[in-house]
Amino acid sequence: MRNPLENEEAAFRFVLGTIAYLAPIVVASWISTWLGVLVFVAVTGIVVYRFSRSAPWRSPPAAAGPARAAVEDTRRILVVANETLLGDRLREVVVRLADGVAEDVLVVCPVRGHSTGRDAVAASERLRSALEELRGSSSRNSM
Amino acid sequence: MSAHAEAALHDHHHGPPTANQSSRIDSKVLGMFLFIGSEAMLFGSFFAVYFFVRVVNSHASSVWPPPPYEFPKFVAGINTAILFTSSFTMHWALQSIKRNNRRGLQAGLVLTILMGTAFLVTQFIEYAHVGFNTSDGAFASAFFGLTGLHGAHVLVGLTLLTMAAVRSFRGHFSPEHHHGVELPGIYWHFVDVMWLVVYATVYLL
Repeated sequence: MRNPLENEEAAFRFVLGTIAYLAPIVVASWISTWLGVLVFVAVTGIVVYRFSRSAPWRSPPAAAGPARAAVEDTRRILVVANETLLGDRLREVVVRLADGVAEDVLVVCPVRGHSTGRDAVAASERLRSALEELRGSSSRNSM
Repeated sequence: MSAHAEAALHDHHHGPPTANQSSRIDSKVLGMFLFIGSEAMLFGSFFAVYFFVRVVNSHASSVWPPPPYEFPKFVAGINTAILFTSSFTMHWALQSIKRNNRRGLQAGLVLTILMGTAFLVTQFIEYAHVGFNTSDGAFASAFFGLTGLHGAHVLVGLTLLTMAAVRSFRGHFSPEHHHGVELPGIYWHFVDVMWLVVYATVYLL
């Protein structure tokens, strides 16, 4: 049973569920008071059981993300580059090293300490472009 | 050199950092959830009164309501059907805006408001003809307390829906941004659920 207040659709289904819950209890109570109590206990038990199966306090599902191989199967590649970061040669080397294995690539784009803010911005742009290119080259990667 | 290497890995961000959101629930939905939770507890206290008046009270009549009074079950049943149908029109309004059907949204909201108004008017007429008032015993206090509390919530819901309807006619909503309709919709369904419980326990059982 989903959280009935998660969105309007869930709340609407909760309205329908309330009808389905109350109707048999009311009808049974018109036939006999004790039958109504019996149906109330049975229906409530079903609701509680279904709620406990999908309880919100259960551990949330693991966050979706790229599948990772076991540590010993993963090749870790460290790339340290600045102006050469977008070069074809560097990309070819990284792709060749990552071929056939589960890779974990860390790209570091260092900027000189006395450089201007523009240099840092440019380095950040090169880093972003390089990551996009490398992600496109490899179907299974984590960067 | 290493400090700049770290900075180069992150997006440039100006201004204060984004507020931490520890809950997986959207903050607006969480707010509505907590509000409705408190309202459910308020109704719960009134239901506790009803329970003590009808069941626990040693002097309570075995017949409910105690003679010579009677509840207008048929009229309340019509009211229940009206409110239940209004949940469908509310749902239709939401589904319409999700499909970028603005006319459907507007029509759904207007119909929901009309039905909610019809519910309140019918309830006022019922109060005028029910044959008892709050001074006629604890059962009457429980009856008017529960139904009156619910009527007040219907009025609040109509206010929210009216604001949403005005905004819908001004073109404020889109398939991507319609929280201003979604949250009143959740509230309206809550109002419907509470009436179903009130009708079943007070009128039928």
